[in-house]
Amino acid sequence: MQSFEALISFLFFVFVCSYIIPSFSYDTQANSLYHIQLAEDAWRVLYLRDNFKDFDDPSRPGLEKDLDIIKEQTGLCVFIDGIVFTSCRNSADKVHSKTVSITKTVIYDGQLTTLTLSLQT
Amino acid sequence: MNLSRSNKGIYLLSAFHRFSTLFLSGTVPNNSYAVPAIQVNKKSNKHGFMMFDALVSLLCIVMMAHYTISMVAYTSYSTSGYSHDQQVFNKLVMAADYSVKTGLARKSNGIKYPNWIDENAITETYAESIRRKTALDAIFISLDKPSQDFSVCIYRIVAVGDDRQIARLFVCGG
Repeated sequence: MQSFEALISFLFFVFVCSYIIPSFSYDTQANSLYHIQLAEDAWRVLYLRDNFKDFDDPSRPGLEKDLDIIKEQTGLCVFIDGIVFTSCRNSADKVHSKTVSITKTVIYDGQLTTLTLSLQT
Repeated sequence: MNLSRSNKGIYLLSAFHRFSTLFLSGTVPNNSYAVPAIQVNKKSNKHGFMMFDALVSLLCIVMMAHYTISMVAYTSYSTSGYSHDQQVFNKLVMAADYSVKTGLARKSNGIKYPNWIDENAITETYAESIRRKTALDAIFISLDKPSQDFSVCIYRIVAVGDDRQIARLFVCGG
């Protein structure tokens, strides 16, 4: 009977260890700053390509095209809230991913407007 | 006790039956069906069970110790590897940020344009100066993907050329 108990104890020990010990290992990189930098990059490149020059123009064909290029090159989804723009039109894209957001101010409709650029990694 | 070969078999069968009955029902069966000629020493039988229990328990303890040591060694190894990769990653993030904002940024009329990269500034000399400052073993800075493997590789989104084409600046190292 004691051997049976010893076996059960061992199996319980293995079961508990299998759950607890892997949680002590660090297998994810601390990269939130890098993601914020990427979001700043996306904004900066859109700005350099004059996408916010005529932001009042509702069609903004250049902005949509550039977001597509960023998505194509990096695989990152870029969302601009306020005036909704996204490089991920497929709802299945990046469902379970991390999002970082930065806020920027632009002149829209003659007024200063705060936009949020979000990046899904 | 001197047992013949056939009696030894019966004795083992009897012991197995006693053990399985004890295991399943918790009661020790009487020995009425056993061969009357065999005198089973109860004290020695009890010692046998105790030895078996002790052996299995010892085996479990040894396996537990081995399992624990293996898991701790593996966790320690993966954590040290992670720590090194994280250090390289942090240095590359820093080097890439410096390059995008200052080191490789285009200048026009005394104004620097962050994220607008001067392609001609990406040279071996520049990469070597960054490698020395970051104290990395190797560094790779290019607008193209590296051909060789690096332990850590990051990129930044930049604009290149007079028409400000969207591109990636790769910064890799190890």
